[in-house]
Amino acid sequence: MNVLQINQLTKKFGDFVAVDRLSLTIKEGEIFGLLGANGAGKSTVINMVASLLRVTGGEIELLGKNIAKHTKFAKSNIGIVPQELAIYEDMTACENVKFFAGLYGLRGKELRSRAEEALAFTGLSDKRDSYPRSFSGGMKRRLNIACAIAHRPKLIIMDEPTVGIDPQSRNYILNSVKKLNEMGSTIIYTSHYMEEVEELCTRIAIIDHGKIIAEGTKAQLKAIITNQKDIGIELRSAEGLQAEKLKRIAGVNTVMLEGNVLSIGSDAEVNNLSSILQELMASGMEIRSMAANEPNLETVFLTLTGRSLRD
Amino acid sequence: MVARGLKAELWTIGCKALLLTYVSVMAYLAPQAVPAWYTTLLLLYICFNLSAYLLQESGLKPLFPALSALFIGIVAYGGYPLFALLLPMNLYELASSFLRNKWPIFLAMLVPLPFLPPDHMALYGFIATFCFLYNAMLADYAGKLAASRDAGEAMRADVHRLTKSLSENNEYIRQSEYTFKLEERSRLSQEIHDKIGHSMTGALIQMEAAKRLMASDPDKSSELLQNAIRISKDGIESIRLVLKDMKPLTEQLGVGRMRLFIDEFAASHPVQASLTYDGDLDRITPLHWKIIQQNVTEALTNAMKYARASAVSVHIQVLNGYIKATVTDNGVGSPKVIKGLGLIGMEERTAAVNGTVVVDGSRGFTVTTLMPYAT
Amino acid sequence: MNMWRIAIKEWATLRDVKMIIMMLATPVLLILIMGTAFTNSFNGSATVGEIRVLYEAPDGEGALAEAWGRFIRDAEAGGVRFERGSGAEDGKLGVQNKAYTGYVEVTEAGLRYYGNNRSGIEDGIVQGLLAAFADRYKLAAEAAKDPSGPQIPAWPGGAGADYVQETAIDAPMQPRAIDYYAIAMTTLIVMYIALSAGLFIEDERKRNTAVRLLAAPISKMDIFAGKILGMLLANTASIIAVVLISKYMFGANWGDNLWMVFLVLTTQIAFALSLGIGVSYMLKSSAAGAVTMTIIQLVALFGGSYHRIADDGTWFSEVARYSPLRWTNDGLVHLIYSDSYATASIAMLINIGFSVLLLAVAVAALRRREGL
Repeated sequence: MNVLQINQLTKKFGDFVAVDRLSLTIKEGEIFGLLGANGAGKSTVINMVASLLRVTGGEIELLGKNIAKHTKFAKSNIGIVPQELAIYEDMTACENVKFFAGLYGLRGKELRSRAEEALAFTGLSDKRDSYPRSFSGGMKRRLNIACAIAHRPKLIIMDEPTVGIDPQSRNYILNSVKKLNEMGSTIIYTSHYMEEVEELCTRIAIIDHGKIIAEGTKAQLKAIITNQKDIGIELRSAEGLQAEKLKRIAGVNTVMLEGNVLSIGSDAEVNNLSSILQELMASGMEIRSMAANEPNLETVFLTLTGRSLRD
Repeated sequence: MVARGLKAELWTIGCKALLLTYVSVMAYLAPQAVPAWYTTLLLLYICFNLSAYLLQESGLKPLFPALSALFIGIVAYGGYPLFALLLPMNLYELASSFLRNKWPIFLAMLVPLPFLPPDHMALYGFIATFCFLYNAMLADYAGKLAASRDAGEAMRADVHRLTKSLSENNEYIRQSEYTFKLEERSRLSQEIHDKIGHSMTGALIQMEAAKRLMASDPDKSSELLQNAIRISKDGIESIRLVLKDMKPLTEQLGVGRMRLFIDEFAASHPVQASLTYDGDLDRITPLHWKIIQQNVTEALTNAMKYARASAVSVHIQVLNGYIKATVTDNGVGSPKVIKGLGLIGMEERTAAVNGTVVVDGSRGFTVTTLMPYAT
Repeated sequence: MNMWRIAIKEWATLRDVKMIIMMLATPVLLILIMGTAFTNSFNGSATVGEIRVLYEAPDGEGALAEAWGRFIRDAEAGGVRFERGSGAEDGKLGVQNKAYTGYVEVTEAGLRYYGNNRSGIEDGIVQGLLAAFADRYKLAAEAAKDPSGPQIPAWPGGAGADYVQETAIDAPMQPRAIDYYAIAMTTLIVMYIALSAGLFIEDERKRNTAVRLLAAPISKMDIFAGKILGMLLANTASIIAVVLISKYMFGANWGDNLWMVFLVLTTQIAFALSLGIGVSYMLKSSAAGAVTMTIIQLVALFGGSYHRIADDGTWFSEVARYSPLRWTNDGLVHLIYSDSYATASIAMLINIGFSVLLLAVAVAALRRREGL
């Protein structure tokens, strides 16, 4: 089923076209990544999906219902984690979660249990009665997420949820995103950090100047640049190496030996690394180091737009 | 612009004069005698308001309506409430220079109402409402007039430019067509002469000989005929080859034409232009080439018109599944790109093959055409 | 319901202790400072006790001398000391030196009084006393001359402090400085609520919580109304606290009808809130603060927040008529000192009227705006 279907979406601010006839479909269970430089229109798209901005043209359907006509339904089924922290510093963690969840119509016992659940999920149970001003950046970020998920939304929108936090908190958040996804939420994720998008997202759209310029899985996007990957393996000694056997492994196109360094060119989409290693082991080779050079999304972005993501 | 201001101004002055006449007539008709300096006050009012029109263009524009309003307020408060009837016009001028929205302006015009003696309230209310409607209407129409005049001006310029470039293009097309025809003709005749001419002549000689030997030496004759047949076959083959040679390869058509175009562009404009490409250009179909050609033309024209660039470069790249054509200039760029007709045309052309056009103005202008192709 | 949630949240975000202390301490301190500093410009009871007057009067028996003697005694009981002077020159000098409030010559022909116009209030009291004395004496003299006329006792029994009461102290009760400034500062502080009200949306925007509120399945009007309700409740509570503090700590007079006082103050809070919100929706956020501040200052200046405005027909008092704050202040004074509801109800009407108008403008702007 399509959780979100965006059709020819346009947003103008005066003369300036921020989102330009953008179409997008997100299926249930996806973690969908939006990739783009600052000002590319990611946040504008997200804000229109969350009914925070009026649509200039085109339409958005959430779970098959037009959000302009069924705004309340759409809002109830979306949880948004804003880019900036959006919490009240002078209310406790639990009060924050309860207040926002309360706006989604949760009441009484249910409200309390859902709030506790959200706090537990983000690992803030023991801080439930503390004020966010005493929190670290990572804890605030987690509370920011807790406030968005207590009402169990079908679609969770995360706009740069890991900006400016320590690696530990970031890992925690990335794991929570995966867990939320496993628990049945569809997720839209935007980030500057290419590695996060690569690690999390099942499908990715690259947005530039309000348009989607490429869309697909990680592998599909990377294949735009090249469908080759280079595997470099340094051996203690190349004596007795049987290059012919390596060439017979599925996906391998070229095998080159320079001194003790073996370079294998292979189809990027074929997972043949373990077969190559097995073959080398079998012929008694000792491996000193190895590296697989795949194009990353950063390169894809650079190639398509001519600019780097963090310009 | 000035002419428009003047026209609207005359209407405002007319309205003010009407009100002024009314106020002075009412004052002189009133039962109490009018002191001499009442006239002075009226004259002062006129001074304030005329100075406002003299200072039109400077930043002090709201100053005189403000002074005038203050002056009226003092006079009205000092015992001539009738004077307050002159206030709405000044209040409108004052308020309209700070507020864009109409209704707050109207509220501002009604502010003095509660301060007036009760017997003047209704009259003031009426005049304020009237002035508001009058001015609002005036502003509305003046705005529309200016907008349509600007639009007309822009359209006329466009038409002029387009007609000029159209006639230039037509001339250019006619000339090149002629040149190309001549070149092609001479090449064709050369080719026909070189290849087919030789074979035909050879075959003819053989056949002549065969005719003569037909009776005396039928064997030799048939051998010669066989020869002539072979030569003719070769000739037909070479005709086919010549024809095939003459039909150029798609790749040559695309890149060749593009290079030609870029060179011509650099020659006819004060700008350096370069063309680079990489990837498997065979993937680009004639339809794609056509779109690339048109988009590049448009982008280069824009670069010349708006970017103030000294160098432009065109890069065509065939990726896996995508064709990318980029036109980059080293000009001024623009932080926010406003879509013009040209850009919309490019987008529409490209959308026909599910492609996109992205314009970036962060470091000079970069116009990227991205088109997917089936792998 | 959602409106209440947001209103209650407004309460919760006001829990900051420093903030609460600021909100309470500022008006309380202002009341204390203004109330003590300007004591002298109010005819408070403390100054009346120190009135000293020199006099020159005929000695001996005589009706006049007797009456005068009685008058002096009575006046003394009321706090005005009459001392016999030694000649007119000395007396006038004493007055000029400000050692005495006035110098009076009592003769059969009449009273001649030299006042010191630098001590206005005391001077007024003495003049009043003397005028009353003269009237009484004349009346008594007439009665004595015409025995056939109605019998009027020359000096009614137990007249005691009559002079004093009639002329000065028993005039309609007037607020002391502390009383006046308790009212004026409270209403002034209420006006300042407009400033924070002007930031009420800005606040949510700064904390980015506006995004969350807008993304929730509630209407913009719920958010708007909830925030206003919350601010109204919170500010009313703090203003009630200020009133109670000034009443019980400084003994400021808030009258017997506290509920009415609170009601009037609540309407004024509503007015201040709407003023801030209305202006913030009409103008750009940068200009709104300055404009609101200017309006507050003008309203306060002409509303009698800094000094009491007499209704004396000057242009200042005329302009003051148009300050809503003036109406509120007057309404409260009348409510407290003469139990009259008339001015107070006009004040409430004005406050509520302006609130409705300004909120209508804000709501109209909100409806058209994208976001809050």
